[in-house]
Amino acid sequence: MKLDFLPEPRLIFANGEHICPRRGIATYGVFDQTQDTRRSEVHVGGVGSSECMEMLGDWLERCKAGIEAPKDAKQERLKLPFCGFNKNAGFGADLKYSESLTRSIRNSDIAEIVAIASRTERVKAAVDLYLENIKFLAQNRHVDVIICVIPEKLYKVISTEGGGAEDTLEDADQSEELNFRRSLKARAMPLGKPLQLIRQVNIDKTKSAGQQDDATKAWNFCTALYYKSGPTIPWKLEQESSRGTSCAVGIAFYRSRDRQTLCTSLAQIFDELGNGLILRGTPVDIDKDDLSPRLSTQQAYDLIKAALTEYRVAMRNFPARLVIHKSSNFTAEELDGIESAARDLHIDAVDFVTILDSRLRLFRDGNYPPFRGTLARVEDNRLLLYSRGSVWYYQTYPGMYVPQPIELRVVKSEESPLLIAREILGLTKMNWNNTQFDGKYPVTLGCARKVGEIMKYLSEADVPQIRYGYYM
Amino acid sequence: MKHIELLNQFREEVSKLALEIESSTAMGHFDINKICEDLVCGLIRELYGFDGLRNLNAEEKQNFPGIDLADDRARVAIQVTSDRSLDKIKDTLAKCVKYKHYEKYDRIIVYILTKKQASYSSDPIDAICADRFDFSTRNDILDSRDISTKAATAEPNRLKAAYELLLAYTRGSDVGLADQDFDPPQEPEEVLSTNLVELYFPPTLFIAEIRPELLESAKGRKLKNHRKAIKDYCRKNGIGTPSDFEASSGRLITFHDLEADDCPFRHLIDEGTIEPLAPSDYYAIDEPHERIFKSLLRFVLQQKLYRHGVLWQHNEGKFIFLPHKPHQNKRTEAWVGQKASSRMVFERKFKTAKKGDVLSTRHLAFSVDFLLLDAEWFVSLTPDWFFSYGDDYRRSIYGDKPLAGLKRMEKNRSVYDQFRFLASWLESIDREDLFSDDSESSPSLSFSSPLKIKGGRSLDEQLWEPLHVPAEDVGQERLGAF
Repeated sequence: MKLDFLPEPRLIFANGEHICPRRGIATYGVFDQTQDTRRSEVHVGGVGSSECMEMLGDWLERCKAGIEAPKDAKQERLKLPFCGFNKNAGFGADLKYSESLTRSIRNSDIAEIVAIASRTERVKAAVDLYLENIKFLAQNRHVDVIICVIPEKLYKVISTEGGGAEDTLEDADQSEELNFRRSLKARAMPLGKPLQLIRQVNIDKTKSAGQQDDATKAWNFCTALYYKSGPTIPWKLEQESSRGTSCAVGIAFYRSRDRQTLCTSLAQIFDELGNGLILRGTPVDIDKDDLSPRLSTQQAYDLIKAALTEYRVAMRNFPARLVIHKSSNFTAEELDGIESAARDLHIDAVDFVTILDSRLRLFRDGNYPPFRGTLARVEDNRLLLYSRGSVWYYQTYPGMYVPQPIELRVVKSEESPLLIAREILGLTKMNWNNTQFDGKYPVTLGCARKVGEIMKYLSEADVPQIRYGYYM
Repeated sequence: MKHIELLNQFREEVSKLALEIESSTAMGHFDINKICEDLVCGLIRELYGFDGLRNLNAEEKQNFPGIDLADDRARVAIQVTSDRSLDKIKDTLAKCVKYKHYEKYDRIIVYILTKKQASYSSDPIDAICADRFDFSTRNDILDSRDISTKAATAEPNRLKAAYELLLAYTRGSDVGLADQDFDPPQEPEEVLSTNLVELYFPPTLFIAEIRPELLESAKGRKLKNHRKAIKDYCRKNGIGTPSDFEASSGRLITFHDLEADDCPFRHLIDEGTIEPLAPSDYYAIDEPHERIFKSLLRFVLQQKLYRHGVLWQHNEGKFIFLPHKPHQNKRTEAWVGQKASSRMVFERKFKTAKKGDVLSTRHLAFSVDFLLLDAEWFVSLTPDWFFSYGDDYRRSIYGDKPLAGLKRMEKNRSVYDQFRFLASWLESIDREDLFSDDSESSPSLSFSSPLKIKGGRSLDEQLWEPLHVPAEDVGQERLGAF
């Protein structure tokens, strides 16, 4: 076994490069700032109680102006001040929000929902209430993204207990089956306006206990808002100029809401710029031996062909190389189907990589875990990668549990395993929902669960939106 | 100490800058001198406390005669130059006399951007200054070494500001753009330990056809799970059989010598089909054979550990430590890590109010994976915890919360210690087995020391904020109540 170290991948911004999205945006501006097609105003709609709308107004004003880093921050590079969301700062765009872009929900309507005895009925009624107002804004106002603020008294009765926010503001209520967030996002999808959900407590100035500091909150909130507001690119991965274009596709599966075994495939395509496109495949069979979902040759062919066609629409060309990420082993049928699709579209190089949680561990003789970027070559095509770990730039380990490395199995590849690992480490930084750069999984697979959770609320007849912004 | 580290970094950057200026000047690139006026202005302002220091060339007029920087309140003026000669000093002072700077400033300083001479003759300087103002060749001619000396006594926030200013000039407007800020240094390298220990198994594997009637149901249907078929058959017929075997494709695979008369599997197999072979001749055939071999290793380990009070929890995929006797409330194991110590591997706690009621039952646990690396076999030991209830140690759903709390507080060192304990304990039971009566009749696995690898990037934890580490068992004390 041999140890290597992968340097922290660089990100490209409008006027420079850096490893940290926050520092990069603050200093060099979002990547697409130099592009003519980009709009310099983000129109934000709001739905919530009138108190919530007031708080949202205050919060957006603070975001516009910039927010100081917490005074007691021990790691200054991790707790960076928020640069402000305005034309003259990192995002290079103005936030437009006014009373006319909001829809206030009456407190009596909220009280009526709170009083409903059945939880299922409560959640349904809450979704209906919000949807009605979202629909009004989407159809009658010029808005790019709609923020739904959930009052605490409503949140308490439509979410499960213990749903503490992880890295983002929106993760709070992920674990339940009839889920307000997923259901609302799925039902609002046809309206063509991405949603940003936020709890009242997260924008309430008077309540800060147990929460992220405001600057960090603003970084994550505003970056997600900016990404959702349109075809924008906050940052992109540095690429070696000598290499041809490549497209990374993550293949994942999701189960139906009724918890039956029906599984549907899903592809997440990431182009050169980091734009995420989502495609729904067809229901697949479950392997009886290892209970993993499997694509037939034809299904694999269709899914990849559709993914590459979408790529072509976005980039006006097919990529020179295709990298497929999957969280289970590839079957011979899957390899065959994917290779046939690539061959038919004249793509010569296809790399197949399985990415799994690993039980292998590396230990330092100290309290801090090994560095992010530590790579152990277990075998020629089998690598152990610490995508989470001590981060030199942050001067700390910004995680709670002892980090679990991921295992990369390079099933078939035209490239060296080291390059494949470098690319995967790069893709861990492409999650627009999180501006802390040490993501565990590459975005090709890391967001699959989130996408699947919303996708399962769509019926067969619904046409899913293709942009990732609708699912995050 | 952070301050010392900062001071060292500052000194390093200052001397690097001096060298850079020297080489630029040697090549005739004098632009750097101009740029450095502002930098020196900032550094002296922070470190010498001349808060009103400003660049006269920028604020008053270009090429201000004789001096570049001045603090009117502190009555100090500074000339910044890369020319370290006595002639340059004389020229500067002569200009100060000519333009009567001494009337506004009590002290004139010459800052040499490169390296000042070892000494300067005082006589020609005294002749120029006469009794108009004092100029000390010892104290008023400065270079980067004086700045570094001054930095040593500067207040921490002043030093930090000076350092950041320096970085902003040397690395561009964004502080922290150098590679050394992004990635840890290559040297010195650290040794990392894996959670792998090398594994040894008996040199001969025995394979034989299972008697066909054992693989059929009462109704004559063929049974799919051959291992289960054998277990069921033995249970039904009251035959005690060890569990360290695997069965696949109608064949039984074990390390037990099937040719021995007292082999416990003899009655299950067709004796004419017994085939002894080197394990590698089996597991190297293909992936499914390797998978079956790994499964056999786990059954052998299961059997071995059971004898030492460690139970396989199939649903959880974990081995858990049990008490040696059913009503024992604690089990500790002695081991030698950096020093000899003991570790609690099982603990049953009782409620304070109702002393007979169990509050929690915590087991040290671990999962295993078998790996073949470069023709050698290893087992990975992943430490874990398990909370149980009842006499048969079923998983307690109330244990999920304390388990998450326990894991959240664990740091690299505590998990590493758990792993080292497990590796050391496995080696110690090997020694016990060597002298036990069982060892001759039952084939077993044995283990060697953990595998370590060189080439890790080094992390000097003294320079980082310490990670809070709870004292042993504090986590459980707090989280045990459920």
